[in-house]
Amino acid sequence: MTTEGSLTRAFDAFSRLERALGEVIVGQKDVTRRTLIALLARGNVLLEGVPGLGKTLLVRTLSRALDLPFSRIQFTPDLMPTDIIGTNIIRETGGDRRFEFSRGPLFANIVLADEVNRATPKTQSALLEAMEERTITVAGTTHALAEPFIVLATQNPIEMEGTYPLPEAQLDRFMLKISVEYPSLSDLVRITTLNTEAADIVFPAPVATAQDILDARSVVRELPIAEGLREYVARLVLATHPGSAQAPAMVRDFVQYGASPRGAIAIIVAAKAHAFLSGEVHVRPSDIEAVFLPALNHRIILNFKGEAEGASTTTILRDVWQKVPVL
Amino acid sequence: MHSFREVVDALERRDGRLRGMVYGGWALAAAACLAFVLAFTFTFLGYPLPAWAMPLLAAAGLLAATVAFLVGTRARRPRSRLLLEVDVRLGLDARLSSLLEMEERGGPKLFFERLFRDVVRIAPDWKRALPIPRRLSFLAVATLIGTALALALPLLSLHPARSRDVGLRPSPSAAIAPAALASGGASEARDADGAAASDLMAAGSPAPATSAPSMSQRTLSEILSELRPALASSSAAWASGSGEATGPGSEDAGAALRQELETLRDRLAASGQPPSAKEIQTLRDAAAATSPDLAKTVDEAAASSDLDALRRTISQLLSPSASQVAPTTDSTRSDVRPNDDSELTDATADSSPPPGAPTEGASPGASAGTKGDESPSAAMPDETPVFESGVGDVAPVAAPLVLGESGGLSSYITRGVPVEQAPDVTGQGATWMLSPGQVQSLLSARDLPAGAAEIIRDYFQRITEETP
Repeated sequence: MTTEGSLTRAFDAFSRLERALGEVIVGQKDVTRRTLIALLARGNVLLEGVPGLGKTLLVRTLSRALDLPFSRIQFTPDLMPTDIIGTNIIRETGGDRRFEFSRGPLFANIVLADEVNRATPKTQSALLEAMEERTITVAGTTHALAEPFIVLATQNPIEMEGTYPLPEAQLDRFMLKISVEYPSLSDLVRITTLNTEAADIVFPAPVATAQDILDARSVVRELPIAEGLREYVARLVLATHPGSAQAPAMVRDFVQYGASPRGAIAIIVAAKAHAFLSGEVHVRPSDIEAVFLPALNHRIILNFKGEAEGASTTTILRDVWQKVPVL
Repeated sequence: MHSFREVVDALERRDGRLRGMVYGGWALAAAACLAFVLAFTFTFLGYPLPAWAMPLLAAAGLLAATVAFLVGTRARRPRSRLLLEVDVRLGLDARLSSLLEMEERGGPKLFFERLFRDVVRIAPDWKRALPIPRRLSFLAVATLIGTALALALPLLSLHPARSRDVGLRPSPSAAIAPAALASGGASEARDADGAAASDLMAAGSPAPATSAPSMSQRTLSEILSELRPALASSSAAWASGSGEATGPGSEDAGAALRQELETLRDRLAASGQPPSAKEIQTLRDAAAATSPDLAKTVDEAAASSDLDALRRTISQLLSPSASQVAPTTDSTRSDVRPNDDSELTDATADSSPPPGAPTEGASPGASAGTKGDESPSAAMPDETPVFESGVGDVAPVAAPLVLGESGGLSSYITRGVPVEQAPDVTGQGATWMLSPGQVQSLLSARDLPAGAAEIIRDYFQRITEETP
């Protein structure tokens, strides 16, 4: 049960963490906030943006600030599943040969799957169990991953040649899809200053521990959300389905499949984390609004008309948000 | 507020009362609209709602509103929705509904206390959470208007009902009333508008005459039902050949005429002095009223100064057999068939009064010798009035109507008067004979209440059939 002390400690830890990230990642406050939301909500993040916007830097900074094991996997077409999850190897000790499991890079607390859409679907699917179950099964043996575990995958939206777009099932495993936008002018000036004057990037010292993360997660889970807001989230998710009575015209026109129930769960959990990061002890409608787009953006599948007309899932979801009232 | 539970209870009570008001308002509005539609419909169908209907409808509306209020008060909506609505209205960011969630499903006490502190700090005034909605105010106004309209309708509906009462029209020229009903002195001229109605009541009903305002509340059928006994007795009198009932005024006029004729006859016999032009005119009028041939005789005798012929004519006029002259002279019309509109049209064409027709004592009710307050059948006069002689030869279906003119007798219907001798009762030449077709046309033009025209049509049909 959450006490005043545990609540304060958890909140302070994440406040420090957010500040530490902000010192390195310039002008991407929303990105860092949503990354922390996923970390608090026990989710995974798909970072989408062109190269050079600091996606990898964000993950590295996070691992440094948390002092947690960090793995970076550069996904390429020839990457095999065993390359990321590990494999059994024959080890000879004292004339005795036996299989021994060699852990892959997934066995870390923070995993950066860089350009995840460049690996084959087979390799991509190797992430599924780790992302959802927090376990890896090799040769009939299931290995639990250490908590906190978070996968931060990146993909480049413009270089689609030779890529393997993530299947819907795998996309659904990502709690949030965060679009990394170009920094503003002032932020860009600051970025250049930081990266051209200093000899190297100065990563922050660890400001929180794995236990702080787990404690904070337990606090977040206990945050209450009103039944009316649960219903509101359900209505929002249902409104993304073209066959739903609540669906706006844009959804009916451009959407083939709406968000799954996992989307509704993601919204609620992420909203709780957002409320926690905002210093609140309950979920507000504004918390839902803050996570609505990143939680559902990758869970909407456009139909042919939507693709042909270049409809944006973000635009569609904004329309849904406008058309579905709280009451 | 001491606790979250008290807050929720207070909000639920207030919400219940508001919903009860809304439900009650809708019920009242619906009842008012229903009453309005009922009154409107029945009024324009010609059946204004009776006086007891509106209190009954009002009571029903109030009962419905009370029941709806109670139902609305007891039919509580889910607390989570209520509290979320309060959250939105008070800007509480779902704090109240989150508190409810924690109370029902459990949660850290720390969160609960902190949230409730915030709630009390942000929104201490609970009445702001559930104010009387504007739509309720609008509804209340609409309800009041609807109720007022519904209650005012009976008053409004009285006007068309009054205007449809025969004989109660303000314009005397537009009034039609059966003259036969005026046998008890209805022939007296009256100046005031609406006097025809009083005549009707005074003459045809044994009940005392009703004032115009009170009569305006009565329907035509009520008036006619009261007049039916008089109609029956009048018809019986005619059927027995006893002539029409006369009033005191007509009795005096007949006696005066008789006296004048006797004086003239005696003077002619005694002095041989020719009569004056006025006396000749009087004599001629009396003769013309009896028979055109007799009038012609008077004209010829006056032209040739034949005093003997004038004296014989006067004696003929004063003799009881004079009453048989008209049937004899008018026997050519005996072939007129009942209910023959074409014949009636002819009769109407002939119905204009002869020039110089007597204006005094010439009305059907002006026959001398009968007592106006006695039964017509029991008071057969010794001196039969000149106009009664034509009873047997009257156009049987043409119960002539006399449209009253302003200032005179407003309206009455002569019955059984020979169409050739239709009297100018007002002395102003405003006498028309109307066929049933014309009567029907008039009835149609009057926009009478449903059923009233039928009653009037029945009346004429009945007196037509009772005509000997």
